[in-house]
Amino acid sequence: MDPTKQKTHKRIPQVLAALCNLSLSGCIGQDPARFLKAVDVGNLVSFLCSADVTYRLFGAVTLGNIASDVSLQAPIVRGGALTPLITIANAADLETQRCIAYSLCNLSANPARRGAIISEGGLPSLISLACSDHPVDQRAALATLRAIAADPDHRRAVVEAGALEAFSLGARYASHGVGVSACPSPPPPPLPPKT
Amino acid sequence: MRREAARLLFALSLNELNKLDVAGVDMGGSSSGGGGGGANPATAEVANDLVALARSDDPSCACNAVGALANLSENDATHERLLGWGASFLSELALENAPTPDEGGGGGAANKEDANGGSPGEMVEGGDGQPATEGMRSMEVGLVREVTRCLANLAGNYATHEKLLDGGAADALVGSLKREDAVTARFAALGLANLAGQVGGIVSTLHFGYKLFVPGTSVGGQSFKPCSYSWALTPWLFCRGASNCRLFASP
Repeated sequence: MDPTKQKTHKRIPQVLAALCNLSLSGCIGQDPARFLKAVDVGNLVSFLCSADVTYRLFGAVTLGNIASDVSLQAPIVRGGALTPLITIANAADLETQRCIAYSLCNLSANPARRGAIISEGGLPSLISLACSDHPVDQRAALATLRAIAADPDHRRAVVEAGALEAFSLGARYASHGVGVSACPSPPPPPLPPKT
Repeated sequence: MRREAARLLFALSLNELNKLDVAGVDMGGSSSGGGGGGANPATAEVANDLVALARSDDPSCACNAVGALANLSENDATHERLLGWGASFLSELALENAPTPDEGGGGGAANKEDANGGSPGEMVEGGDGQPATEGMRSMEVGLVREVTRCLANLAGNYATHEKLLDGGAADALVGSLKREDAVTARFAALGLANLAGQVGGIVSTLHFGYKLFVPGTSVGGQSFKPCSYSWALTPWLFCRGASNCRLFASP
């Protein structure tokens, strides 16, 4: 179903919501080629670039979830999603920024793509994710930055983007685990005296 | 989380310009934070965090953090800052992991490191049935190796000798010299050679390592031939590289 062919604009948010839910539920993974064929990356990018905050968020979420499948990353990049992802991240709300950052984390899994992400200006998004309040987000971004820093040509750019601040936050992380301990069973009551 | 942070900084510290940034040294070569005046709050925080990771109980964390310090020490412009952070704890780390007389030199397993700056603190995990203890032993070897490398690099700077010796570096290097790991022992030998390269340091070095350097002194029943000090007097021998022992003399 091509959302851009909907005759009424009222259906577009519903279609987008359905796409997001499909991506979140893992349905894409069952037949990713069919999903991409039906949706078209270009349409997702157009929603990502929309002036509507909701459209942008849905576009970011769906692209991010598609990018979590390594086999689907090439179509996303070929479809021209990389530059809009990075550009929109600089002017989007926090949740959209987070989704875009995760998209970049996923796309960075391919070493051949890291140079393009850096040259397009994707490092600030990753640094922001690494400086967030969510430990899972922090760790994902730190791991991505470490992978990027494995290439000697990228190390300077990572520091210039502000990675030292992310390092400090990660170094000071203290996990507050909740300890569970079983209460000892009470001693058995004394036996009544025999009469 | 802290492991990831330590690994990240290890990788970043392989870049020459990043070394100066992490240590808070401006491009003019003067220290701009931490141990000297005019402290830069941002770099002072990084320094504190790095030292805290190096003191961590987690072996992987400590290994990568100390590896990062060793990377910084490859640039002599960072030495004043490194010693300002209290580098005597490096000597303590080396001595804490020193082998007991019964254990000998400790584990000899080399760490697995990739060519693109793989961190020394990667756990050797048991997908092939390798026991966890092997991983821990490998981690200890990696930690002592990085500590020794850092001390050896710091010893390549004559200006640091007094502080190093006051911090127990000679004892630590002699201890590392006895390790079974050949790379660690070589780093230790270089460090001692650097310390001995300065006339004032020979006395202190001999005080701690006289059994090794004084000609004719028997160690374990063997006599050592008089050694030539010409090689030991060459300053600025730096230990570079996390995976091999390439030596570079500064210009």
